[in-house]
This record gives sequence, C-alpha cells and structure tokens, in this order.
Amino acid sequence: MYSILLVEDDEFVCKAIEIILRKQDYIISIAKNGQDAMQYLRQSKFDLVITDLMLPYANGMELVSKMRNELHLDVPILVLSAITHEKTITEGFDLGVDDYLKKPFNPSELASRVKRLIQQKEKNTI
Amino acid sequence: MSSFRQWLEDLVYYFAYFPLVIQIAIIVSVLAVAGTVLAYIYMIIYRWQKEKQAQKEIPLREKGDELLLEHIIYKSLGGADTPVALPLEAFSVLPLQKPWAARVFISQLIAYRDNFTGDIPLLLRQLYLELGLHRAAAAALKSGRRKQVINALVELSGMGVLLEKDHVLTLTQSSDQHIREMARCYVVQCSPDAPFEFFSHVQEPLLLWEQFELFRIISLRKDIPMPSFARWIDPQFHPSVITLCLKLAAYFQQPEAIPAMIRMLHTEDEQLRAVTINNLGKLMALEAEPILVEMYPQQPDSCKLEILKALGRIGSGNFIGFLQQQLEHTEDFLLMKHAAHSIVAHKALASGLITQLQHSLTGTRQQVLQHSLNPLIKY
Repeated sequence: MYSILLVEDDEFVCKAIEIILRKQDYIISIAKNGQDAMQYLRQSKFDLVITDLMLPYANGMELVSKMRNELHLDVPILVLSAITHEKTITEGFDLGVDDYLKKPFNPSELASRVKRLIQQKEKNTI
Repeated sequence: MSSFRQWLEDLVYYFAYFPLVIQIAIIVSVLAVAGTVLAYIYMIIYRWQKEKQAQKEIPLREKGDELLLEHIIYKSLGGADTPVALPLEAFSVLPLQKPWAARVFISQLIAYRDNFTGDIPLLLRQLYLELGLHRAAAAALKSGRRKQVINALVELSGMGVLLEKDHVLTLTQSSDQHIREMARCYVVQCSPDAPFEFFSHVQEPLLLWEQFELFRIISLRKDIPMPSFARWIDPQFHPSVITLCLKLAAYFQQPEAIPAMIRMLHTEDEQLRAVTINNLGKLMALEAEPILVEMYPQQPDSCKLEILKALGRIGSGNFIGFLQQQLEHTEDFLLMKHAAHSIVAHKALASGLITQLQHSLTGTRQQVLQHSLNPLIKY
C-alpha cells in the first residue's frame, strides 16, 4: 500500500481525489495548506505528494521549494492546478516538480500519472 | 409595565409642546433605531433560513456525491474503451421530484462538470437529460419571469444543453440586458451547429465585458470547427460585433479575413479602425503594410499608434525606414516609444539600423531605444 499526501484547499476536489485514489488502494492523507503539509512531511514518509499551487499560508511553489531544499525529500511531486501559465509550470519543474496536471482533470489521467510516478520512484529506489 | 405606559403617555402628551427641532430629532432617532432593529431581525431570519436550508441539503448532497462518485467518476476509471452505463435506478433514491432537491442535485452536476474532463461532462449531461431534470429549466425559459429565465439559462449553460433554440434566439435580442447577455453566452456555448448565428441580428451593442466573456467561451470551444469570422467584418453589422470578430479572426489566425479587414480601414469609426489595424498586425498581414503607411499622416493618434505596432508585428522590413523616420522626428512620446519598439521587433532585419541609431540618436530618443532593447521590459 502506497501513501499519498494530498495538499488541496478545495473540499470538493479533495473529496473527489480521495475517493478516486482510495479505490485504487492508496492511503491518502490530506493537508489543507502548505503549513499543514510541511508538518505531515516532517512526521511521516509518503510515496507521492499531490499539491495545488494556490494554497493558503504557503503556496504550492513554496511548498515544493521547501520540500526539496529544506527537508531534502526526493518524493515525487505531482502538481494539480488550474494555473496554465507556461512560466509558472517551467518554474515548478525547475524547483523539482515531477509532473503537472491541469484542472479540470480527467480522473483516469490522474490515476495513470499517480501510478507511473510511484512506479518510477520504486524503480529508482531499487 | 404601567410606569412604562405612563411614560409613553407623558411622552405623547408633552411631544406636542417640544420645540420643532427636538420633535424632528425624536422622530429621526425613533426611525433610525426601528430601522436598525428591523434590519437585524431580517438578517437573523434570513441567515437562520439559509442555515436551515443548508442543514436540510447536507444528507442529499452527501448521497448525491456518493452516487456520482460511485457510478460516474469511479466507473470512468475503467478505461477509455469501457462504456459507462448510466444506472438511472440508482439515482431514484434521490427525491428529485422535489424542486429544492432537484436544484441541489443540478448544482452538484454542474460542479462535477466544472471539475472533471474526459467523458465525465458528457455522462453528467446525459444523466441530467435522462433524469428529466431539464424539463423545469425548459419551462422556466418560457415563463417570461426575468429571474427564472436567467437561472434557467445559467443552468442549461452549465449543463451544456441547448433547449428551445428558436425561443433562445429571440432572447438574444431581448430588451432586458441581463437576459440578452446570458442568452448570447448560452447560444455561443451550447449551440452545436450555429452558435454565431445571432451575430447577424445584433441591434444592441455587445458590451466590452460581454465581448470578453464571449471571446473566452468561443476560445474554449473545441467541439466545433470555427467559421470564418470575415463574414461579420462588414459595415452592415453592429460595430461591437465587427470588433469581436476582428479579434476572433486574429486569435484563430484566419488570413482569409484580411481583405475584409482592409476594407474596414475606411470606416469613419476611429475606435473600430484602431482595432482593425491592431488585428491586421496580429494576423501579420503583409499586404496591409503599404496601405497602413499611406494612411498614417491623416490618422488620429490612436490609429497612428496601432499602425506603428502593426508594422512591428508584421516585421517584413519593407517599412523600417518609415519607423526610423517616426522615431527620429515625432514629438509624441508614445509614438516615439512604439516606433522604437517596432524597429526592435524586426530583430535581425534591424540589427544594422539599431547600431546606427544607437550612435546617431541623442537624449530621450536614445533612451527610448535603449529601453525598447531591454528584453525584460514589456509594454
């Protein structure tokens, strides 16, 4: 069983993703903002982090930056955001984002990307 | 109680003997206090009713979420080739015969449509139709009641369902501004075959924000081939329709619209002429360059500015001398700035000229050129 941290402040999206991924046998933890996410990340290990970019307190970019530079985590990061600005996406990849999915999203695509990222991480660990 | 009554009786008795100013002050104070109390009572009742309604909706929303996630969202994970059957009987547990329940469920369907892509929006639309939830909106469209018509248009737009096409087309010409605007957005968003038909009949102007919204909706429509917007770039149509179509022709890169746009350069409407020039530039209309340069001296500043910008966007290099002349001689700062920017936009074609100008220009003109050469500065 793989564990995923979902960082999302929209309750509707949270609930939908939670149900989609739980049905795929993932364990989901939910953080409503960047600060809560950092606490989760300090306390537990995750196989994947899915984060929005527009978050209260610390936004998604700050979270990614802290994960890579402060906590030195190599966990795969999937950004799920309505922001489609090319520069922001490139900036995210530069900071260490592994994949990007645009909102509104296709649940099948989300499930496939999550599976691929976790498999990739597994391969890299071996 | 009796003392309060006595006090009130005394007040009424003595009120007539108070000076006029005091009488007015008392009346105003009483009205203000009573008004404030009434406003608070109204707010409390309104909030209580809303809260009660929200509480009543919670179980329904939970059940709706559960059914939608279970039967639509999760089943759609099965793969693109696996068709999802709509289990209508599963949704029969919802009390959709009650108008408030139907309204809540429809709002959920719209939220799901807004948040998911792929087959899901189509499945939700199909569910909406098969459950017969569209009937109330169809009736509301013809009700003639303003609020009901607008709500029906919003709902049907959200669900992507076009109903009562002929009636809706008449609503696009409604005398009520809000109905008219909503109906126009609805037709553009939902009509499968003729979303732009009403452009030909527009009598009331498309307001600027309305043009913006229509542009957004049209640019998001991927399910239909875009028509040639040149059809509406004609003085017989409303100037606001022409403006929108000019922008659309440029956005969808329709070079076949260039001849119609060139004809529009003769319009007397200065604003429309400026928009036309701007979009000729965005279409990189090479054939328009000599015409623009020729008409330049007779134009007002707004059109001159657009001509300079257009020459920069087209960037053929044929009129770089003209831009140089403007940069060197114009006294208008904005024209100077855009002439410099357009020279720089010629990139390699202008490299020799830029070096030469850097040496020959002095003062403000040189600063403007240096400013335009900075790739970090955008304007």
